[in-house]
Amino acid sequence: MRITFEMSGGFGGLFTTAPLSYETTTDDLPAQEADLLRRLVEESGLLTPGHRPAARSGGSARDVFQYQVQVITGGRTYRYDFDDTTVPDRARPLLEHLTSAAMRRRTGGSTELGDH
Amino acid sequence: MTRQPAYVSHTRHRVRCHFVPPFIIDHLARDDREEVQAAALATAHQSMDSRARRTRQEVTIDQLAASAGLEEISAAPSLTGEAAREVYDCQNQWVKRVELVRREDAGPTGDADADAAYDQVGVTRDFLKKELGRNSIDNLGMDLILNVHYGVKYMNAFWDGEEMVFGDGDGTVFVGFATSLDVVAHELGHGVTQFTADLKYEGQSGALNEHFSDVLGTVITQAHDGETAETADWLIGDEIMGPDLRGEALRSMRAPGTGYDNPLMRTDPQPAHMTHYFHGDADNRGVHINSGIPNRAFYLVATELGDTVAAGRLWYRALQRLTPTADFVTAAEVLVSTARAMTKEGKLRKGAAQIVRAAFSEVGILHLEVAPGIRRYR
Repeated sequence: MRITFEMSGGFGGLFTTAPLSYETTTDDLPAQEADLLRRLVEESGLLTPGHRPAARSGGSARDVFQYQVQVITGGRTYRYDFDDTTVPDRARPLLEHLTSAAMRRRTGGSTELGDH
Repeated sequence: MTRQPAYVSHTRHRVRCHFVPPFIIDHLARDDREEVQAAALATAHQSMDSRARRTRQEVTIDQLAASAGLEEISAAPSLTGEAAREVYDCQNQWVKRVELVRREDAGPTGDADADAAYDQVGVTRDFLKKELGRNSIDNLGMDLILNVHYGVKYMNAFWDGEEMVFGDGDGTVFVGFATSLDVVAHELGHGVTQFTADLKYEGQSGALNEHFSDVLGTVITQAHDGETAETADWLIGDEIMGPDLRGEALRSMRAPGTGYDNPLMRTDPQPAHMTHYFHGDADNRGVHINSGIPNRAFYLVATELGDTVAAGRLWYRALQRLTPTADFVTAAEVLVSTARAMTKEGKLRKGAAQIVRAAFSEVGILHLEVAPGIRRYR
């Protein structure tokens, strides 16, 4: 299973020209991490046939983050776009996991961000 | 909310919503006669109608008039609310309104975020009332709902159309969204815009929407901190930077594009001039990016006037004359004509309209020749 993730926007308009992103394939992960990811995807309900969360909020939300999640598995591609007000409840744990992974990737796991 | 809903009859509207083309409404909204403006705005603004749809309340022509500031059609006391604050602790759930922890006039809770948010919204609300004559977000005293500790390490704050929502940040990179006055005022500003121009949140109208929120944020922060246009830092979001990013900010109104430059956030993409306008699709076609251009214009006007609050009053009055699809040029023209009106009324110093014109020319929105003898801006 391959998963790609992107987030941008928010109050700061952050990551807009350089979205915070993460991508991985379960084959490339240690067994425990691969299992965790598969479980989170399964529990998110995103692969449920006929499931289609609202892409964006009705139009009144301001400064929300926008997310894009793409899952490629079993020869099929599932792609979802949502924002902070339309994330399906079941997908929250997956989103937290992907956001943390993307942040770690951006910071290189380091907390020293002052110089580069 | 304490307002009583009442039934509205469309036959009582002076202008019929569906039969007058939008370009005529736009033109009428800029008319100098207040009653013509108000009628056009009552038609053009989606906000009252959409608010009624969202909250399932109906409104009267009196409420429409009251919200447009027409006092001769006075709103009965029962139609206005008390702008009461309610702070909810979301307990790190992705759910709003989990636990009410502080009502209006209640004492501190001991939770720093809840108490700071309560105070900052109070400062914002009181500024709206005292300096702009505005009774809360909708000018009808709507309650101010705040949600703190939303989500898990949520690095953001937002306005959802009815309430403000604040995350905790992750404690390292971003912190204290609810404690920062410019963040709180910015989010509340989205509510004010929603109930006035209701600027569509994409492209130039969306960038204006963001811009007006930054204006409110900076005006209120400067007033509260006793700063002037000269002494202020003109930064947005400098207070939410965690220990690792201290000294950075999300935006600079004085020098768009210089807010931040670090490996996590990368480089501030805001332009300071139309020649660097962002044409991409991201961020609803750059609402947080292109806002830098009018932001700089505001900085120039405030600095040249030597009075950020006066500039804020001008901007607020102009906001009420804009319609949802206003673009940069329209906003600039409305600001110039509003400045002329306010100068005539003695509310702005002479030369204000010229200062506004020059500022919008400086950022490339208006194309004017700068006459010899006019000082170039720093």
